[in-house]
Amino acid sequence: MAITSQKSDDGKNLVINVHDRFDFSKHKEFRDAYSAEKAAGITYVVDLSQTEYMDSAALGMLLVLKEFADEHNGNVVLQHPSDNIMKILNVANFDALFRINS
Amino acid sequence: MEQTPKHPHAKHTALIADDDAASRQILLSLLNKLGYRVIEAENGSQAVQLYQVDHPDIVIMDQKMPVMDGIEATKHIKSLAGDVFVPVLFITAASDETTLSQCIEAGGDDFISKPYSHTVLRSKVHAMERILELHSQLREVNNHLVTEQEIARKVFSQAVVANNVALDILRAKILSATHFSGDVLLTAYSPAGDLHILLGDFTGHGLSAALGAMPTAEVFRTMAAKGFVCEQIIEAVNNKLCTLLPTGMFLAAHYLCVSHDLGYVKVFNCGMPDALLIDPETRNINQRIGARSVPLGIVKEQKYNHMHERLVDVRGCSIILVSDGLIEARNRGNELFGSLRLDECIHSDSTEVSAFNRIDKALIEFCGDVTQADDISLVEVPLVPELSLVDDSDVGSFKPQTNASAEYSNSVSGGSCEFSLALRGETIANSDPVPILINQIQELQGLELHRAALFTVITELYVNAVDHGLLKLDSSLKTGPEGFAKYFELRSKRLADVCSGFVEISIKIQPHHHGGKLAVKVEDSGDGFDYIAFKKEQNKHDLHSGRGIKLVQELCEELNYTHRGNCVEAVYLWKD
Repeated sequence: MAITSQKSDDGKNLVINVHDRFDFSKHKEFRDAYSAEKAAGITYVVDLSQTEYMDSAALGMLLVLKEFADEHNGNVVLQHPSDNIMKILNVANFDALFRINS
Repeated sequence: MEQTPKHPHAKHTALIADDDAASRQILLSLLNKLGYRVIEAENGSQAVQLYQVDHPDIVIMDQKMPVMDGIEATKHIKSLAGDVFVPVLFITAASDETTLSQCIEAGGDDFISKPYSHTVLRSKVHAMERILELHSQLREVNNHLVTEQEIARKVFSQAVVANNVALDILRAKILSATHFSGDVLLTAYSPAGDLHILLGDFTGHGLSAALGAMPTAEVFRTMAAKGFVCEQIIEAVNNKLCTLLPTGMFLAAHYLCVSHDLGYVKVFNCGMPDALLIDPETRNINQRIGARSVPLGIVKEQKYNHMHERLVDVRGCSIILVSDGLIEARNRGNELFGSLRLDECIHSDSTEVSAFNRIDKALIEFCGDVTQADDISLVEVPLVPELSLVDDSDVGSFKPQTNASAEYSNSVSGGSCEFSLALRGETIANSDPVPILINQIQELQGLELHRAALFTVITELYVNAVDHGLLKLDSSLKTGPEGFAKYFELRSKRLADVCSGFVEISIKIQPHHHGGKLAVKVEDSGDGFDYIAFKKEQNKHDLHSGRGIKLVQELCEELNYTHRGNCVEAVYLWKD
């Protein structure tokens, strides 16, 4: 599986791991990883430590996730991006939009 | 010789060999009672004749008889029976251990001393029947096993061996200790015409060892065809085997990557005997490449960068690869073939021109008819022009074997190089050219640190050409979560229907002293768009679209549209 997700024991965090390539082909898989988790106040953690590449469609998907989280009073955190991925996020000014834990 | 009337319900036939008619009569009535049809012989020689005619299921044999004694007759019968089990029960007056043991040595299965009690004889016959039954069950199971192995072997050879390339140039011999070889030889060309060779030796031999060969072949072929570099293929095979194989089972392997122009050979040795670089003229061993890493399937996520020996200027040389089964082959005297003998074969001034033939001949002579305990592999890779997919006059141009409608070309001049990939029609729906291009760039220039950025740039430009140029999708669809989903749904629908049109991606790399310039040009057969108006409007676009181009602009030095907006060129600069 290129995308896996796991809920924390207290149900407050949903960690989504994206492996290898995060691009347009992962659209459905990524959406399926969180769309059923609608409880209020969830933090959606996107773990990018295993992500090798990222394209603009992936950035779009992150924005869609942010909208989804906002609707349900949740948060989105991007976690452990590699230097290469961080560069893409910076270029897109996503550091201003998301909390990024390196 | 007397023939007794058949017992009405006889299922089995018993042969009685005894020179004393009275004794025969007693045995006959006893065996009849046990349900046997009985045939009688007066001496050993008659018994052998009757055996050949009637194929009895059990033989009761007197030891001492005229003409031919029981021991001699048993030897004949057992040898005639071959694989079929015919129990022979000796009846003997002798009580000395030598005679009794002779009976068993000759192939007798049990003996009973005269005078015998009927109860004991009956019990012994019953015991023989049980063994007979077990024996026939074993034969049945074994036949079943052989049939299954035969089928599995056919599947195996289709899946693993059939797709190999360049076998007319390579010299290879794989001897398996059983139906299956745990040694496996895989060969494949990359899209650039480089030849990948993997000679592997799985732990053990037979079917269980061969099982790992299938996923290995699958990963090897798929990735080689897509143009992945050898380090990545080895890493993928390693990870796959780590997941699949039980602990304690692994794959020792030689991996060679021969560049299409024979400019270099990369040699990876993961737990195999030394690979030998030899000069066929002088018959010298120029270099030994010993194991640099542990076998595959042991350490997960192992990186194989810098684990290889890079051989240059080796045109005309040969590389000899062997599995440890060859080094450890044994002769009648239980001596090892050994690596010294291997070296001697290479140096030998025998009239055999190829080292492969010299080694092979010596091995056959050495082993004789001794059954070997392990699989034996011997491969010689002659580094000759015939090995490459393309001849020297046509370096770099090729047609991928898997897809006739993709075209690829490249050229190198004065430090800079250029290559392009054109995808037409349904190839666009079925393939992803980005990894191929990225790997080609990496092969030519390295740029490891820039991989992710280049991936993004090329993906953006390619996806735009496909989505907007060919599929005429409107970015403004991508508003909100639903719009995003709709966009992708429409995309895959239209992609499936694509039957005409093209996208051509050209890459030009120009290295300088402390860095360089990489230009990506993407042209599509679509209608293009009003890029002058787009530039003016760009800042007004909402968050869900137009971001890709912005990203490319940020990552690249230049981004220019030309023609009618169906051609775009991005220039990426790097510093070392």
